[in-house]
Amino acid sequence: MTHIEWQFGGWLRDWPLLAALGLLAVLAIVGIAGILWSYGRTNAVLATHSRRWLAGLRAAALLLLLLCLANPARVEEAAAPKHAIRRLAVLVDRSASMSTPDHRGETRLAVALRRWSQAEPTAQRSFNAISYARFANDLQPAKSLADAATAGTPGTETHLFAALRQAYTQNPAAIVCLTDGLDTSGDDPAAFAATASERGVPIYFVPGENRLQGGSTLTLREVRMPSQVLRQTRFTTTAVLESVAAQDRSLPVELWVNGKQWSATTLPVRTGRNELSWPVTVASGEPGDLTLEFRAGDQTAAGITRVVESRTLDVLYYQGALQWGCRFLRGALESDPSFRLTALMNPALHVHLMAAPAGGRAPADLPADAADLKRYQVVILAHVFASQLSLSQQQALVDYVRGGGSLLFISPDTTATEQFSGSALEQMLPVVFASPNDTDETARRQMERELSTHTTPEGNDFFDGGEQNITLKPFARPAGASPTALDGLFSGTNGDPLPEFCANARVRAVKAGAQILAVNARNPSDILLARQPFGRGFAAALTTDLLWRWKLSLPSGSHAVERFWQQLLLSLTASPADGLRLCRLTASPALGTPVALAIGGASPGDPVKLEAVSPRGARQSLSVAEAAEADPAALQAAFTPNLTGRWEVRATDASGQTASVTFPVAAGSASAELSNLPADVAGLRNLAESTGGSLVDGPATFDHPMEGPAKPPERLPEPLWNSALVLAALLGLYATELILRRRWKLL
Amino acid sequence: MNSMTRADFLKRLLAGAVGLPGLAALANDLDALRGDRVGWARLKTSSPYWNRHSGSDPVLMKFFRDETTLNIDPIWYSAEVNNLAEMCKYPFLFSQGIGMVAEPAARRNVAEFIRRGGFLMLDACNHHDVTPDFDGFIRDQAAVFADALPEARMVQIPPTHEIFRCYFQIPDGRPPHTFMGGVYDARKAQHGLNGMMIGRRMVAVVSVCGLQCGWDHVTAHPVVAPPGHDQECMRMLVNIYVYAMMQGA
Repeated sequence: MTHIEWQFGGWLRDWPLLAALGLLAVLAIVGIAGILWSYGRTNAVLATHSRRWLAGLRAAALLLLLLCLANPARVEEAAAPKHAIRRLAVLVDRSASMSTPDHRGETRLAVALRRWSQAEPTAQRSFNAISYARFANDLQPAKSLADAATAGTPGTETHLFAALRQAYTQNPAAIVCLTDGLDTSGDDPAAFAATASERGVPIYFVPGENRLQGGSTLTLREVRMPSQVLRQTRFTTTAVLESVAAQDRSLPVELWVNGKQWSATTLPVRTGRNELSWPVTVASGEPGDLTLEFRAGDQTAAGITRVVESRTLDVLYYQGALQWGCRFLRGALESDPSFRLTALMNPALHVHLMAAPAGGRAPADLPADAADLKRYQVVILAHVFASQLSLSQQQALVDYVRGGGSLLFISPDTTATEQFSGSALEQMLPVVFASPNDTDETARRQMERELSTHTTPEGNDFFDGGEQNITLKPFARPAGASPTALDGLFSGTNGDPLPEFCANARVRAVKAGAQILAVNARNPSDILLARQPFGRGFAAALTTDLLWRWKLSLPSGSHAVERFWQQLLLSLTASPADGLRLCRLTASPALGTPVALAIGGASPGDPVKLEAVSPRGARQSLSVAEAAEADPAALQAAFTPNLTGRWEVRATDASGQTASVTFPVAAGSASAELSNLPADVAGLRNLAESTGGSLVDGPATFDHPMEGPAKPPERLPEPLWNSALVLAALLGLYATELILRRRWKLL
Repeated sequence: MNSMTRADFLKRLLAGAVGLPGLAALANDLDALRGDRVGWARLKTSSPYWNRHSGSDPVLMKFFRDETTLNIDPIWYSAEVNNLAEMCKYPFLFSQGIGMVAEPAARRNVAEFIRRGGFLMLDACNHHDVTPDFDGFIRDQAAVFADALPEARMVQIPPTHEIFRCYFQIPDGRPPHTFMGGVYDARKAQHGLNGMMIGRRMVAVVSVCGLQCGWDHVTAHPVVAPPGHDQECMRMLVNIYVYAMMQGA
């Protein structure tokens, strides 16, 4: 049911209704009186009916004008239901960890049920309906609490967050969950916490705890590394580990390169389930194969990176504005023949000049199809404008990067970058640009532009030729940044000076997960260079000019500029071309239980050989199947170990790349569910409080009584005056009056 | 005094109301596409003529801004040949010629400017007092380059070269010439443009066309050149500038 009212807008809105109506009435009366007076004293003789027509038309126009000035709006209010049903959803965790008794024979489920029995009467008074469900691997409805707590057998996994998400779909007023808080599905707790806060449905956790002695598991899941790197460069390889721990501890891990220990560290592991990654920077050295082997506990995971003398990198350079960057960037890349640059200009510039490598041909415009971009490893957008890039061109770039390409967006112009605010292109970039609606920013820029446009040399310089005032500002590494392979971009081994720039675009924010590579040394809040993975590729943003003034400022013998550009482009292409990866999916391999494996980084269509080596050295070929994923390079395999001990699985692709994992196979499974991990009471409390709920460990109060304060009804104002119809009516009345005046000789 | 009827007035008012926003939008569109700001500078040498015709350089700047999206300063600057840092503030330097640059340090500056990626445009004034011998002018420039920049070689730019069509279409690939007093000089007219090349890269253009005289004389002395000659000269210079911007340094 809706309620409709009318309101005035503008300054009349703050007036009492009667006062506003009174003012409008006075204006209307005065206006109509003036009209009658003026048409009563015309120069030409008019018939009475003509006077009435003309006065009527003008009066109608006046009234319409007053209507527009009054800004009336129709306000529709959606009335809130008076007696909403407030339903409480009670979920019971029926996973194995809740049903395992401790040395006193007490289960976590029993403890949780006892606690809930103390709070349940209050809940029954606070809510007028209660529904029950049980969950482990999935959520299932139950007729009663007893049914939820006893029916069926305990599940092998705990999909806690998935169950809560599913409960949301039934629109409960609140959720009570009896659980130990151990989600063993790999779901992201932080992502769920964000969702829960947005939903605003309070969650009350009833923790299930007992005195089980805790165990632990460790899985060295996979190694990520580039398939190829250039000689004498640095690259990053990463180990991905999964650990379930009963208490906080340290996990020692090592990286061995070609049989020699390269690096070692200890990773902090907190109580519960941990997903850890350990990135290590490795020097490539001379051409050949580098075998990278990570070791953690009794497990290893290895892969091979090929070090090559050189490789070809196809770069598409698209320039949106006339500027000197193209000349100097081309010069920087042409010094290394492995860079094959195709340069083209925004057609709106009317420059009939493009560059293509020998035997190649430049497209006439930036392709609007990602397939046409695939032959380039990097696309550079230099000083482009949102109005000059069609939606299909922007979407093609997004698809290209998502599919494994790399994009470098360069612009020193805040006016240009703010036009990308909210665009598809900006969504994949590592930074958020200022919005054109940011009034402070617009005013500041307008002032800067005015100053720059009207600044002229003093005195006779205008006629004699003065000197242009240009200040170059240096790049700087962000404070506190951890060293990575990208440090070579700026300084260090070659003793190169830091890049210097003349102008830069303002950035409103850096996206979570983006890596800031450089900031303005004089104003560290200015982000100059950042990058982030997007899909299978990389997107980077350089918010400065194309550094041509820096090139001109350096001695001709310096190669700092060439090195910067070449290494920057190489760094954007290194990671997407990951080498062959072998990932063990089964956390705790056990005798007679299938071990699932995933293979990534293989060229689509190329065969991959996979074999398992038993603890006794027996080899067994495994069949590889395509995974049911959108990624064509994703493959999967499985085998069932028939011996306990240390097994090895090796994968080899058509190009000779290899990857391997070794892991122990036990007599029985030691899943996270059965590792006797302590209940995550602190995590449950934090999550509950973030939703407006609480931890229930005794008699409780529910802060959402049945007759809570009514939510104010939603108001939907709709302006009634600013329509084309009113304008047409106004003009029509006035035009009719003019025509009649002309006809009756008043004009 | 011409009287205007009300109908005429209303028509003009309507045309203005319709047309002005369109023109303003066009101008805004062009402005919205401008890139980095850059200055136009003349190379200041010991020659007394180094700044000859510079008074009309703002005319060229206006032409640049009206006809292209180049974000060029509306005024002109100068860069001392003895001050390398000053020279390197500009990617493109215009000069009356470097034949007078005799000091080794200044010549080294010219060479270093080019090696860093700068571009030189040398254009001979058509006045007999400034350039008594056009063949000699070209020889002088070549000699300085041979001394300062031995890796460079001078080539005649063919009419089919991109420099004649990269922005404006220069008819027949022949650069416009400005003649002293408007009198045709066949010997001068035979020269096209000469490019100084380092490998495949053009680092300078040597011209005896008197392009600067063209865009200056027509405004100062309209009788010495045919109508539109100033535009032709400025178009040629825009093409040289755009070509310099877009090739590798």
